[in-house]
Amino acid sequence: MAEVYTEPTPSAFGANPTDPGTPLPLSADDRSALDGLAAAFSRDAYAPGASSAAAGRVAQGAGASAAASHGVHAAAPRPAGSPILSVRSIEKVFGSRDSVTHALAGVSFDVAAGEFVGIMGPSGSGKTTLLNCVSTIDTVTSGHIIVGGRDITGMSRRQLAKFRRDDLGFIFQDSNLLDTLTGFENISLALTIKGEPARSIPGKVNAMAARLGVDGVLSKYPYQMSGGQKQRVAAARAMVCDPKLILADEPTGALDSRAATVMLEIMEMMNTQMGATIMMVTHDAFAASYTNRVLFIKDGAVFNELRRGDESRDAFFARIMEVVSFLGGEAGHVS
Amino acid sequence: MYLKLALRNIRRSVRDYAIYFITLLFGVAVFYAFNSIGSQQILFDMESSASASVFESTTQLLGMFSVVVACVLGFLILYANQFLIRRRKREFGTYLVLGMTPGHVSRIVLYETVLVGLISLAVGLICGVLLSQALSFFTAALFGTTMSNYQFVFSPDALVVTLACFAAIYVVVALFNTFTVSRCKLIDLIRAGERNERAGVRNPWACLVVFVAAIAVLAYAYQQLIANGLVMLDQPEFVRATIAMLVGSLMFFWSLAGFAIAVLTRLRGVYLRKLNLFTVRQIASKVNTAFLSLWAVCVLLFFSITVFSSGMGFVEVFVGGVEKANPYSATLSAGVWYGPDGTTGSSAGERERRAEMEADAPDRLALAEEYDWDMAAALEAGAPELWAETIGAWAQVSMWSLPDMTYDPIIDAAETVASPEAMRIDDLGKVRDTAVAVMSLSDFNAARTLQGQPAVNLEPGTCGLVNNMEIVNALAEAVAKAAPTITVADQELTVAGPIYDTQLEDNAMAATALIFVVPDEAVEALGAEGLIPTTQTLNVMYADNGKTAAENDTALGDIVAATQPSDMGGFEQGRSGAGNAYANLLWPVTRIITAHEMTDQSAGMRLMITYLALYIGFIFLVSTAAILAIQQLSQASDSAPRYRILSKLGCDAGMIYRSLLIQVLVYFLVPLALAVCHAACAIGVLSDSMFDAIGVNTFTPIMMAAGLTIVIYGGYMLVTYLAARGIAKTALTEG
Repeated sequence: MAEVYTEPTPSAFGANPTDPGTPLPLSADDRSALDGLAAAFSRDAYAPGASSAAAGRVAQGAGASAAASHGVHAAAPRPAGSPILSVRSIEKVFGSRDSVTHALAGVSFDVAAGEFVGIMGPSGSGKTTLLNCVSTIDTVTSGHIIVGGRDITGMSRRQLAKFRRDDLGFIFQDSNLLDTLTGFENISLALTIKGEPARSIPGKVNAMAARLGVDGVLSKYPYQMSGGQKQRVAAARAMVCDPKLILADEPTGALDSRAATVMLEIMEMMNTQMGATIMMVTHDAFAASYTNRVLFIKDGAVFNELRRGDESRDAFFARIMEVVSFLGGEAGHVS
Repeated sequence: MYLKLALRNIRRSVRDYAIYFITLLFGVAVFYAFNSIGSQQILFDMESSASASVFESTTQLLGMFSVVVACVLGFLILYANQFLIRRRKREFGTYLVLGMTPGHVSRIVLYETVLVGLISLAVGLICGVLLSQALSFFTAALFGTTMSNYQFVFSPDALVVTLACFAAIYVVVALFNTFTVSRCKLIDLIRAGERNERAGVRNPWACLVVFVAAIAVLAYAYQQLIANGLVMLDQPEFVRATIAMLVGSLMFFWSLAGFAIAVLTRLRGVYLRKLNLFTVRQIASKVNTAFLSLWAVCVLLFFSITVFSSGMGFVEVFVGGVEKANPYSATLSAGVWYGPDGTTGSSAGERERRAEMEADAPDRLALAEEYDWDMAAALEAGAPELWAETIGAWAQVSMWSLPDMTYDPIIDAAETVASPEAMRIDDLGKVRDTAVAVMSLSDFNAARTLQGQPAVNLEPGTCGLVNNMEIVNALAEAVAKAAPTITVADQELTVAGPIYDTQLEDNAMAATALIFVVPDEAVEALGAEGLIPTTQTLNVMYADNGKTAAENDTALGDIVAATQPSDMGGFEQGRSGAGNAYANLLWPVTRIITAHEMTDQSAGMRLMITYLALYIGFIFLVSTAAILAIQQLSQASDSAPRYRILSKLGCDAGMIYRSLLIQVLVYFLVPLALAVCHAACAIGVLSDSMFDAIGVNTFTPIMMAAGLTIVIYGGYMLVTYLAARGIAKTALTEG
């Protein structure tokens, strides 16, 4: 029932003219949504399960000049049910009466099950605030965030804690492993907090560690691990509970390029083979090129969106770089 | 400006300082209160010089221990300060980055230290003055009197001592702080928060081995103590047991966490449940890094619990039997002849005793023979009216030493029925070389009658045995069983009948040891041989004359003074000394012990030991609890990032607080548990070897010690938990 449409993909920034304009897997709603810039990125724009081989072609976010939209019906089946994550025009306001800062000024987007979404944006764009709101670490000023069909913006502290342990998995920049616990215990903790029966824990932990290639460091403490190993253990901790959504905050930010590549491949594997839905905040275009879709946030609003489709990673990377350099260039002009 | 900054810092970190401040306050208050005890004597009607000296000696003793207490408190304050400083490294780093010099930062810290010190000193002194008022009521209770003329007591001496002590401590603390701050490198200060906890991971197999070894060493220590029933501090067994206990405890804390983790990880149902594994690791990492201070805490706790519970027991040992040991109003004794080395007994040889006395003090011998060795007659003649008014009844006991027999054959006989160890022969000194002491049946019965005991009879050819000295009991029983024969002036007398525990004189304790009661004719025969008594005691009961015991004591002194010619030094002159000081007076009186004096002294001893136990126990308890509290709080604030991670992983605040509670409980209770085990062993041994035999009830002091521990230790535990919870709560809401 999913519909796909193509777009000529004229670059909003004039830097992306070679986009083949192949069909895009998007919901019907999105066709009209993509007609206008603001609408394009405030609506339910999502690709179908990235694990499916029929991952859509790139959805090129239109710039101010790109208003054209093309509705094409996709062959790829849309995953059953509503999106895993629906962000509906959320706002986050900091400060007092005198000096108000809109960290988020009406952000809306959806993430479908099985998607690997990247959130990019310059410093101060609000991407971390967005992640904090989605992860329920911070609260929104207005708007709604719906995860798995439940609105989390109205939940009590207790419910939020339960929601975090049952539905979310976290991967942080600095791994945030507990330094007093071994790798095994760090991964187990996610399960014990959930109240998982003790007898089933070692099996799950060992299996997950083996898949992520950290079974060799399970008995080590974080200070005995390399940065990459720590991040993969953190990934295992996030995955072991089989959460609805994994939130990754600059997971490669503290890694050297080799470790970063391994980590990204692991995350890609988590997404394609293990069916994890991942939302990753990053400022690194290389990291973002591993995703299916990249949302650009600027000044508290979704500014642009890129879809990878079946494009090669290098090509996707090139397109991301164009947006990034545009954002950077624009910032340069302004300043 | 720096002063203002310091003030603001204190106000801002009130929570950090709270435990430190309370502990300082306790320290100052208790320090003042116990040092001011000397001033309390104005509240009490000091009837005798003995009571007054009690206060002096108590003050002296507490003053001596105050040095120890000041050292403990000084160490505690220094330790707490270093902890607080270390936690604020980042803040100091910021000051330095902002352009302050290390000197400025040191000055801020100095101001803070001095301010907190001044405030705590002032508040503590006020509390101390109030506490000392409460203590004076306690003193009254210990003396068994009520205060008729209560007034507010303030001790300038104690104030000066307290001020001086704490000023010295603060100066040292300020120096240390300044040194610590000025030595810090900026990079260390700025990066202080980023340090990863690496310490505290130990090889599990090493832990397992050491833990088992620790238990073995502790078991050995207990076994040594229990097997030897030690009370003598200088015995090698005791030293061995002490060292084993110290080493075993240290090994215990070194290996405890590793061992616990090795065991717990195998109990999956427990370990992999909720936050348990996190909690266990938190405790383990703290125990591993702080095992030395946990060990010190355990030792101090053991010490304070033992001192407190057994201190009261010792009071009973020393003074509990005071009524039983002082059945008469007073005892006047004549050490007829003290040997050249000041000891009674066979040193001069019984047959030469009279000749020597004749040579050294002919007038005394003449006086004694004039009154036929009747002390009462001599004293009555000296002051007949006062005697009649003061003395209601009396009984004289003359003690004779056999010229030809020591205790050696008697002990040999006893050894045929009991082992030397069981009879504690080794503890009895030179008893084998001592001449056998005998007394006449009529003297014995007179003494018994005077204290209301029925008179006894002797079968022909037998003698009775008197003993009430605890340490000689086993030997006396063996002698009674072996029934040896003694020869008194050619009469063969076999020991027979029960052992009498009659106290033959007023004394500090039951001190009648292995004396044989022989027929009067036997003693008369000794006199006929030209022997004179070794010692004589005249036990008197005061007449019912409406005077107080203290007044009668004074009257008794006057009677004696009237009898002793002043050219011999008079009685009063020698009164301040004890025993041998009267050696030149010889007869009729060399020493007076009155029941009233002994009771006063025992009350003083009770006061002294009770206060000492309270003082030491309280200070140690507070210090240990404060150290644990500070460590737990610093752990809580160091762990703030961990709690934030847990919260992100979906732990609700309740789970985290529960984990905190368990951490605090375990951290406080483990050293306490080990200390209680040690104390139970030590007190058990003391009870077996001392208290039980004398019928001392250790239940009440143990319950009091438990109560004190629960209130102080539990209070600190509660405050620590609440403060740690506050720290975690802040961490969660900020995160």
